[in-house]
Amino acid sequence: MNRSPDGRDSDEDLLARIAENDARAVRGMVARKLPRIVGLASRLLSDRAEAEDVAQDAFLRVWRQAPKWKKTDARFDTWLHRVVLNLCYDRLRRRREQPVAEVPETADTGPAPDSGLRHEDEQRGIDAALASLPERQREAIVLQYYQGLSNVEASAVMDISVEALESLLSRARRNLRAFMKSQAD
Amino acid sequence: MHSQRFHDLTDSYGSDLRRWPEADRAAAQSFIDAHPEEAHAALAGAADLDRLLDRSSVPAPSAALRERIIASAPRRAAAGLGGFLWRGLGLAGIGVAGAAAGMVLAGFVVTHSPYDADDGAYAVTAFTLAADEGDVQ
Repeated sequence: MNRSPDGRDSDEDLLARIAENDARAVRGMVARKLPRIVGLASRLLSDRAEAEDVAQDAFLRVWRQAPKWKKTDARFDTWLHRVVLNLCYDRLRRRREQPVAEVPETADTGPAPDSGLRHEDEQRGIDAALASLPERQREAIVLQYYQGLSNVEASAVMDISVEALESLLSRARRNLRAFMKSQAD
Repeated sequence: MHSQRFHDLTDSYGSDLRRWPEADRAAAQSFIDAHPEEAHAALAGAADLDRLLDRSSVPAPSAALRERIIASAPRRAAAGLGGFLWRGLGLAGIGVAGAAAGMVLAGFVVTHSPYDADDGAYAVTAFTLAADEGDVQ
C-alpha cells in the first residue's frame, strides 16, 4: 500500500480500492478531491450550480477510470485537473454560443468606486477581477495560486510549456492589479 | 540569479517563495540576501495582490452534493450480490436447458432404441450408434 508522507493512502491506492468497489475508498476520494474540484470549477465558471454539475461529471469519470488506472500513468491529481478543465471548457464553449444576454454578469459585482475596499468588497472585487480575465490567464492563476499545482503540473494540465505558463501568470497578475485599481479609484 | 529573472518570477508567482518553482527557490533566496532592498520592494508589490487573491474563497461542498457523488460510485454489495444472482441464474438456466435437452434425447433414444432400455450399457451407447447409423427407427 502506498502512503503519502503524512500517512494518508495515496490517490493511486484509493483508486485501486475504488476499482474493487470499496465504499470507504470512495468516501475517502470524495472527501479529498471534491473541495478542490468545486473550487477549481467555481473559479473557472463563476457559477456554483454549474461547478457542482462539473464535479458530479468528473467523479463519474473517476469511477470509470479506476479499474483502468496504471501505476505508470501520470499523477492522478494532474489527470483529474485536466478532466475538470475539459468539462469547464465544454460549458464555457456552450455559454459562448448562447445569446449575449444569457451570459452571467460577473463584472458588475465589485464595490462602488467611492466606497473603499472593505473586506467583503475585496472578496467580491477579486472574484470579479478573476472573472474578467481572459480564460487562459484565469486558468493559469487558478491552477497555480488556488489549486497549488507546481509550474510543471499546471503547464501539463494546460498542455503548454512552463515558459508559456509563466507568461500567462504574469499577464494575469498585471490585469488583476489593473482591474482592482480601476475599482478602487 | 539575475535581477531580471527574479523580477520575472515575482511577476509570475507572487511574493511567497513557496509558490515559486522548487528549482528557483534557493537562488531566489540568495538574491534576496544579496539585494534585500530591491528584492523586498519587488516582493512587497506582489504581496499586495497576493493579499487580495487570498480574499477569494469558495464555500465548502454541501453534504447533499457529497452524498449524491458517493451514491454514483459502483457499490460492492449491490454489484457483488447482483452479479452473484445473475451468474447463478445463468448457470441454473444452462443446467435446466441441458437437463431438458438430455431428457428429450434420452427419451428419444430410449423410446426408439432397438436395444433394451433397462440395460445400462446399451442405453449409454445407443445414441452413439444411432447417430452414427442414422437409423434408430
